[in-house]
Amino acid sequence: MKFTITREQLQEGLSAVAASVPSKTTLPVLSNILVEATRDGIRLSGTDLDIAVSTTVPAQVDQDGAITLPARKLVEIVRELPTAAIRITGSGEQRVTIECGRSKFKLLGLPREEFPAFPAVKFDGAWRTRSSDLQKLIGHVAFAASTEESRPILNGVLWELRPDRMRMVATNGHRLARMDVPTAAGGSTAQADLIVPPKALDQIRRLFDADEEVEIARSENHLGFRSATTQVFTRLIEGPYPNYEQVIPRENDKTVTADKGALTSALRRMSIVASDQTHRIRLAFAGGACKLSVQTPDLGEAQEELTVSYDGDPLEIGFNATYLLEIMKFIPTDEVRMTFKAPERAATCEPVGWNDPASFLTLVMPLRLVD
Amino acid sequence: MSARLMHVDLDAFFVEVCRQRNPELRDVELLVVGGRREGRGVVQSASYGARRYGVHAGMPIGEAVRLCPAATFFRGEFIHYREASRAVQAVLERHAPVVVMASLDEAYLDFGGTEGLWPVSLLPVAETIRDDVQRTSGLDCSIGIGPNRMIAKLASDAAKPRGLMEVRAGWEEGFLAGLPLKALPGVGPKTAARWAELGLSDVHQVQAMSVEALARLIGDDDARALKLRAHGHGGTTLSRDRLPRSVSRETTLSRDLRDPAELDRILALLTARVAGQLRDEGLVARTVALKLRHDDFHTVTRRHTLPDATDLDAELLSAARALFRNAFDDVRRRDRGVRLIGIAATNLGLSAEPDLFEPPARTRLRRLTSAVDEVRARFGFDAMKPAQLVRPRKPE
Repeated sequence: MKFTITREQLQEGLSAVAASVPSKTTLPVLSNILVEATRDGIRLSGTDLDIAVSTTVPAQVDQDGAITLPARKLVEIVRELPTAAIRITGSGEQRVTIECGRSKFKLLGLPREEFPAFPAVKFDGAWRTRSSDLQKLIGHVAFAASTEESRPILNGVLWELRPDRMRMVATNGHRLARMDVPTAAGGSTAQADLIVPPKALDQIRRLFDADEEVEIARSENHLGFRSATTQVFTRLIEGPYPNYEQVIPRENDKTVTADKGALTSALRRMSIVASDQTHRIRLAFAGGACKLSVQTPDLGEAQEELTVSYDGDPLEIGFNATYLLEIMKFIPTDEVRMTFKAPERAATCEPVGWNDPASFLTLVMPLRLVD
Repeated sequence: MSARLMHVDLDAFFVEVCRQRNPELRDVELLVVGGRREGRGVVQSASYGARRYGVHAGMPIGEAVRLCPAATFFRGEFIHYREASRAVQAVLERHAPVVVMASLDEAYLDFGGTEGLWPVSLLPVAETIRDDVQRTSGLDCSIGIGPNRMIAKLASDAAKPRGLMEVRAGWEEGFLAGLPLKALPGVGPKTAARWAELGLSDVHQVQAMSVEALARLIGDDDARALKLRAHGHGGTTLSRDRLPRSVSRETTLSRDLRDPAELDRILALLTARVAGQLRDEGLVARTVALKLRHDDFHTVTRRHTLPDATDLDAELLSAARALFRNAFDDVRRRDRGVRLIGIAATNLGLSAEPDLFEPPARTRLRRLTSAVDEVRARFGFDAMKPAQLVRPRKPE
């Protein structure tokens, strides 16, 4: 194996792949990056067995070959090298020489045969979509997935592929986010419901440029994404996903519209005095006002009044302030609309006047108020 | 500025609450609370009269009967204790910025930040609190004041009954010098006896020794910890918001039982009590632990962790039953009876968060349970029980 590459291109390739390399592992080869020199350039691959990423960067290849090299050391070396051409030469199966300017390294690796094979996903008849649509969906929904181990299915994001739209849904059982994006015809029109780990979606969002077209295909247990240069594979979480449609309220008859910035600031102030465990705050709507308040035994209390547009019957409802604040972060407009039915029923929260073909809805369960 | 903590300890709390609730006990001088005379439970609390005979909390009832045959034995109601305890807590909260109940009958109060109000001594406040508690709840208390939790508690112990004692910062060592080692927290009867054999029985002895010399006698770790305590070091933080570690009920049976059906009924009752208290305190448990003591005092505990935290009788009971079946196999194999059975809910969390995807069956169960709770809140716990438990009451 022998190739010459610019420092920028090698660094770009490594930074794409390095995030999929686990920091701790019982299988030593997983701490390594697979480096393959081919006619097309240098292909770099990394995996933690849940997610696998590979990307190809241009290089001048004088001799084909492959080896795995310790990811962290390789990244550190490349970061410290001067901006000049880097020449990498394999010497035997388990060693390379890295030369750049007047620096020279010899680095030990492991044979490529030890590196796990990537999942076999066939891309014939793949779905095709714009990366920007994926980024929008992931960026608004993935946050709501659960991080607790008690219900593994909720650790994933549900991704529904339909002929005319894509939808993502995530929830932790207490709050939920759902987004629809209409899709132009292209690629497969097959329907699918996939449950994808958010960690993999994060990589997708990071690795593909907004204007790239991404092909998506699945095997029995895996999902693959690919563009001209980059491929990502992830394990799928086995379903069924809970029936989320059933919990989306349709009878909420009280509606409030508020300025997102003002509401966020008020929520932040209230949450300081909320209990560290429940984060419970109280919202009281009446007339054109929302009274926020919090009372925590042994700590103190706080109140604030906000002008909002509300003409429903007076309503008092409790929420986990953290959930509301998190949702506000993802609302893409300056105004936000919330709807309610009763203090023990789910509330919804959505953008007002969003100039976008996508539609976004979040919902959050209230907390019982104890007087 | 040193911390200023107050330890409020209610005097003979369980005895006094029983007296308030049961006028016929009012003039009984020798009163032991915890179980009936012929029962086999343990003493919760003894009147000062009975204590003179050597009766103390934690002692088997049988032994108390032997020490003080003339005493009246009485079994109180948890709900009465809790009500009384809450009433006292409300009084304390009027006087101190931070109140943490350490148990039903004792509390720590933090007076940090009140130096401007009471620059020198907290004794006048303590006196007001003592009188206010007595006036409001009819209960006596002893109060200790100190620069840390340990000193405050030892001071209230020294002040009992109905006394007040303040140990100011800088005077800890002198106060402790007069105490036996077994008064210190972490020194139980067995440890105290072991050290007494080595000639160590009083705090002043430890104060006079170097850590090295002490380590040669009782080992490195114990020596370091004991030395710190002997010189009056202790924690000063009172954690608010802290969750209890567990909610549990256990009972020593009136006679050793070998019939699993009978034990199952008792298990159901204990579990219902535990579940009721969890809901009352807004808690949910992930782990259920079962304790079974064989009639030869061989004790077994088994635990099971549930997929979802719960406060529902049915879910806790089914876990408890599975544990019981296993543990009872052991009893059978050893051909013993069961002397004590207990159930604990641990791994606790707050139950505030409703679940979007609660299965309908669980929603129904939760609604049923809250209806039962409402009935019980008005008419008492026994007003509503699982049918399995409803049968003519046998004398214990």
